Amino acid sequence: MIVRISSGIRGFDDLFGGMGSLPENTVTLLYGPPKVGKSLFSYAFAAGGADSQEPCLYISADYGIADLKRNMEVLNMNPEVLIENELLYVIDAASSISGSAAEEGNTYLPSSVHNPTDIMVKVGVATRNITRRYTMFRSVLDSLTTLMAFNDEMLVVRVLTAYMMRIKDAGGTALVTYTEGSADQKVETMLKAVVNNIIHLDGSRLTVEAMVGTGRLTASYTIDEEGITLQP
Amino acid sequence: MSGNYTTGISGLDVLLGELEPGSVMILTGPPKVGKSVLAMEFMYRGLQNQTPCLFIAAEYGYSDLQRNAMTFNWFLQSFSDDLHVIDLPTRLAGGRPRIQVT
Repeated sequence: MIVRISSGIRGFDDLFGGMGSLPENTVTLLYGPPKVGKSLFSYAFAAGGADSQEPCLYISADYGIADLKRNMEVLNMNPEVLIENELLYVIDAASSISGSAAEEGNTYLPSSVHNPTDIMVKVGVATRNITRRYTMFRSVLDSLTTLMAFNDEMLVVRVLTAYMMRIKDAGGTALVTYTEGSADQKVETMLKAVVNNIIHLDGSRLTVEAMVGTGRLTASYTIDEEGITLQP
Repeated sequence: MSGNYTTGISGLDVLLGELEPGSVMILTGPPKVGKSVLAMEFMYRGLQNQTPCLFIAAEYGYSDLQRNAMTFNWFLQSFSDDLHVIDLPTRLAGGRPRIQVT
């Protein structure tokens, strides 16, 4: 019996009959060329959880906290309130580059893209904080590509493996993003091998390339000021 | 052990015939085509026939193996005497295997 959680992406759950989409307690790789909506998909995934009082641990390597909040606000999300209500936990691995990270707190943990070990330590701290209050949660790692720009690619594959185990052991469901073609072909194949599900975005079509309990699925999508919408 | 044995996977046994003890097979292919599923079924059908299995899990830990098997309604708990798992990644993630395995 596969339990599917609601994705938060409009129209996506309908591909699976409407009762959720992403298999609970699995890790999904979301990949595609730059600027096709991977981060938008991730924000909607976080918002979808918050709607049902399920928190999201967001590891942001691409954007610092200020940018992340701005991006979410554009989609009518209210990140301040989500963070305050412990429905959004952020590990900010980007701000330290510019030296403008905010104060560390229960829901905000500064880290660095230069230091994947520290990111993993913060993942441990955050999952402990989360599981103290919640039984279900989701997590986003956005993006592997940025981690690879600062670290050895094989190290990032190992970090991903450790991240996956941590999240799954704690009962979470995760989404990781990766820009197609940004790593060596061998590394890309390994990324696809270690995750449970694979979704590809190309700017106009979403393809479920692999997913626990289902075959290949595809649908077209559009992006507007409210984010991603899949067409029936 | 005496005699040859089969994988127990319907269709595959027709292709392969009986396997000789002592032989090693390599199963290869792109990501997400069913390599791990086939490996898991090979293990499970063996366990059902009282053939013990040494499973070296490098990609996912023991709890994931149990979970993955459960999606096919294969319950590994009932075979814990015959299933020996070497769990490589769980320690990497700082976790401890939930069940002590030999």
